Amino acid sequence: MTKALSSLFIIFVFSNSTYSQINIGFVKHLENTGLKTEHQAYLEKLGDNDSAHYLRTRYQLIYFDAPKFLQQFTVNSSVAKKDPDFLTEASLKFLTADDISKKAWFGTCLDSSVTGPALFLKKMYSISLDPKKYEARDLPPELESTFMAYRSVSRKKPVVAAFLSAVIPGSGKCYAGKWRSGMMAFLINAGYAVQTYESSVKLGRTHPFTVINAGLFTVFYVVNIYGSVQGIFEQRKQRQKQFLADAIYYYH
Amino acid sequence: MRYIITISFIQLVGCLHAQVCRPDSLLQYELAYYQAHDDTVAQTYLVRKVNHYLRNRISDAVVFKEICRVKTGLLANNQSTQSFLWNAAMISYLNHENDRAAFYLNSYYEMSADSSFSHDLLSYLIYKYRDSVRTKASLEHLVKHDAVFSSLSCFMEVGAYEKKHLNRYLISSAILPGSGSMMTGYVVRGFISLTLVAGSVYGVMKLVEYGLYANAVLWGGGVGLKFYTGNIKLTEQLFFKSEARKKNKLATECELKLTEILDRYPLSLKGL
Repeated sequence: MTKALSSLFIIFVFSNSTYSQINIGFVKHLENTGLKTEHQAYLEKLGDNDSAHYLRTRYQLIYFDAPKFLQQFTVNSSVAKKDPDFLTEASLKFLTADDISKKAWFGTCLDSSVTGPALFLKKMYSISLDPKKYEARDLPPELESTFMAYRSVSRKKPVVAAFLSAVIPGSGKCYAGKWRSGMMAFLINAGYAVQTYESSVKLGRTHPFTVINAGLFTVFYVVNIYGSVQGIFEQRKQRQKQFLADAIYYYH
Repeated sequence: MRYIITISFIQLVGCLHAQVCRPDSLLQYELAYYQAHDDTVAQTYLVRKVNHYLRNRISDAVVFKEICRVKTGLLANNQSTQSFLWNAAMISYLNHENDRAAFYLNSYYEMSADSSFSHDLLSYLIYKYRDSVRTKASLEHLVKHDAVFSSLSCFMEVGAYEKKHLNRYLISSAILPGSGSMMTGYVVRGFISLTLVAGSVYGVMKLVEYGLYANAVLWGGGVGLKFYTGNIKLTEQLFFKSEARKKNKLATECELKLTEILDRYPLSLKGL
């Protein structure tokens, strides 16, 4: 559907006599067959006008390279901004791009005049940045559960996870939602604590074996606290990724 | 293994230094294809485009993709088509697309009835790990031409190579840690495994002797058991590594023989 609309848009724009030298059918053929070299060669032959810029930006969108696309879009986007399907397709691709490109596209390139699906995707991006500012009712019902899960994780604080792990090893990971990993951390720390206690009682505190046990216990204890903090960040990132993936799926 | 063949093949077809086609020329061929009003003419332009790549000594996946675009059923029955089918079989083979290669070679044979030794040689290369009956038939033809081709029978041995029984090695490692690894030829690693497991057992016994029962259970159950199971896993890994090495050695020897043969009887592209 999107492709068909996009084709109609291109035919509409290029039916203008000014750009009659552009063989739109051939451009579509190059797009569909994925002939990158020929496609690029053809676009290089075109002059320096709005339509040629639009086709070059489309080329960067098809063979998606975020920095090159953004560069091309920034130079001249007068025609591209009039094509809602183009903006939607670009937004979908940027939702899975790196953070810097995402920020450049949704923050700078897509201005407030954007409407339709591109606006929806821009909103999804804003929600993914800070879900605490939004409510479930702001979203379609299909995205509520994934949003709630993401928001719940984003409310969890790394400091709390670190504190919990310091008091009861592994509990910080459980707080982050990693129950299995939390249980493992607890068992390992408990095991080393028991070993250290036993050797200190039977061999003395200064005995080398007790020192080795105590050293290992300390290492695992510190790693457990660090792991809990990291667990929160990982969970946030994972939920954010899931939320954006679900948003893309919902759009499709 | 395949790499050596590819290199020798490329050398022989004169494609050692891949060059870059001028995008303008490719564009012209594509435009001609797009604007052609007749299907056969359109396919002919695609064939010309493929030949243009080959003349520029390019035989990679891009050419293979172009070859796949050609609808062979629409091509006219002439010398140019025969050459295309032959070249397509060679390029498909070089790109590890043996099913395609076999398809093009069969189409070539049906059209040309070529029974030259070049055809038999390419057929042998394409089918050598796929169809033992056909490989054998091709080899018989080749040997009739020159007895030197009999050395290529080693590929059939590579294809039929069977691994030894893994379980024997695993059981050995379970009874005496490290022994399975040693049997696969990795003596040092086997000895390290044996030392680690023996050291763990000794350590646990000492802990029991000092009355450190909790330490004995935890160290034994944690580190000791890990060393013991690790030793068995290592044996399995080394077994596969060793078998792959043996098979590769056999295959490499075959490749060298093939390189020598291809030096004497080069395969070349047609109709360029």
